[in-house]
Amino acid sequence: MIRCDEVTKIFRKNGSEVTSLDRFTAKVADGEFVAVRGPSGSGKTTLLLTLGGMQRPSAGSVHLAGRDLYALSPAERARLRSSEIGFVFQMFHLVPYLDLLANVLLACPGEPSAEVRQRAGRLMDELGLADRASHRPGELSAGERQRLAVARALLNRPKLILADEPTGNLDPENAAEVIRHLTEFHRGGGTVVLVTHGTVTDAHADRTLRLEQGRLVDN
Amino acid sequence: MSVWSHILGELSFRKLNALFSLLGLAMAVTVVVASQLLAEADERETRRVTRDMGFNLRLIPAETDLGQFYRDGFSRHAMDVSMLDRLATQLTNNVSFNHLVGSLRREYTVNGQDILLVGLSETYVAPGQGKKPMGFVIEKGTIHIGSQVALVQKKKKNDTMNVGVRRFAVANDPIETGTPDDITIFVRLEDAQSVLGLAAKINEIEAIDCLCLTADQDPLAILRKEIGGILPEVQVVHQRTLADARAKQRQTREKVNQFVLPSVLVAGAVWVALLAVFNVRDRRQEIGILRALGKGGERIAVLFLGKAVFLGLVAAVIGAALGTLAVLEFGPSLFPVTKKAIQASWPLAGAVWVATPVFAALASFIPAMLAVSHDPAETLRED
Repeated sequence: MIRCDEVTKIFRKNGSEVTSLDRFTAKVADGEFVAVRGPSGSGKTTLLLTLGGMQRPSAGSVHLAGRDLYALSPAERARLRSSEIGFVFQMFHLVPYLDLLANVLLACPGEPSAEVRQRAGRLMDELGLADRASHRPGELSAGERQRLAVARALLNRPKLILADEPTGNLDPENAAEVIRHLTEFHRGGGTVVLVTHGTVTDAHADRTLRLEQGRLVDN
Repeated sequence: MSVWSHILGELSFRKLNALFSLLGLAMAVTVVVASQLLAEADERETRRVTRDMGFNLRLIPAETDLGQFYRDGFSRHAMDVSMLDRLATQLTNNVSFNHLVGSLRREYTVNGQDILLVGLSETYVAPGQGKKPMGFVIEKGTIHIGSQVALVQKKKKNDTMNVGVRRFAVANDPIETGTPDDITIFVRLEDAQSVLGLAAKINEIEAIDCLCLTADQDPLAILRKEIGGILPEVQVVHQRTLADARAKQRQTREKVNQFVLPSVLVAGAVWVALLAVFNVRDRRQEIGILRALGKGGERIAVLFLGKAVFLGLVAAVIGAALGTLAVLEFGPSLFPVTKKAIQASWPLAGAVWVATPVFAALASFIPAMLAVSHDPAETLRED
């Protein structure tokens, strides 16, 4: 599913260089649930955004489903993200002025068909948000917001979910709920890469990678 | 989710930003519409007032001695009325004179009173500039008399009065003007020709110069060249003080308009652009997630430019209405002479409705491009 070869990302700020990823090399198989652990500033989020085609590495290559991600044009990468990748972020990143259903449907490329709307409704139902469809994100609890973000990530039946600290802002009960949904997606054949600095996912992940100062120290 | 419902949702969520943008644009449109309508009203008023100030261009037979002309107030020579027709056929919007009236002036004695008899032709104006004559229209069989004539002859409006062997009805209520008009009887040109025995003759063509030139630009030379090319048989006398005053008034107004309009447009554009930049900053996370969801730069640009177009459209409707209402309310007191001509302008409103959304989109273009070029990873990494 994913192959990273010597991926390096260097940020330049105020004349100095910070290496966020340092020759990161790893593979994630189809249908695998991989947790990426590491302390703050270890490059976890950079890795996730690079895997998602959101951040071009300074060196190295990322292959997704056999395609060299950064050899694609920005438009092709955007299409790939839309069709094959679902994102879940720690801060949810919901659009505050759209109702919940519209937030889920935002993932749909173009005008959503009746079938897509039905699917969005079903997902909201499965995630316990069906009766809040016309509410706005500001009216939800943190747990509900993250479940909404999961519903949005799942709408296009992605092959891969990239989750960045999805439980970081949640209480244990809601964190477990979100992990349960990601696990269900994984059981259905989906690939999950989840970055975290905690251990909450250890029991669910097939494998855990450890990052320190941008380097893979444990695979 | 359609782009428009997305835009409308954002507008209702960030009400203050939307309100300030709308206010800025609506104010700019109000000022533009009001200043445009006022400029038109001012133009009309100036034209009317200066027209009422009288003719400033007098064309007299070439052989006239100017000493005699200034002493008597008219030329003792005459010219053929066909010269008036010749000049009138050359009236276009490209010549520097307009409002031609042929006249025949002579001293005359009525019942022992020495008066000035003035015959006036109809007024010739350039095509498309209306037919409203200078001064007054003399109906067939009528005369207009000065206050001294009325006093001595004991005549008032609707009385009849003999001039030569012909009888006319007095058409006006004579008022004292303090000018030679007080001892003048105005008749139709053909009546004056008949009374004076000067068939098909005039001794002057009066006109208004259309040049908005000041003294330093030598308008007389330009007028003499232009008129001399058509009627070499006339002398051109230009009442310079009147012409200069009128030109200065017009030029001052144009300068004000040239300053107001660009200032308002620049201020409006800066205001809208600044608010759009703030809006882009507020929406960085949203832009980031839209990118993560695979939305392209076009979609992001449409969200920002579409918002500007929508606000521009609403502001245009509000601003055009406010600007028009303000001018309808306050215009008549500013321009009392032509107040009846002050009215709403649909062509102007139409132009504003088209131009404002385009203007708003242009003002928001740079912020929209900032949004498009914004690195989503930067925002999403900030978690």
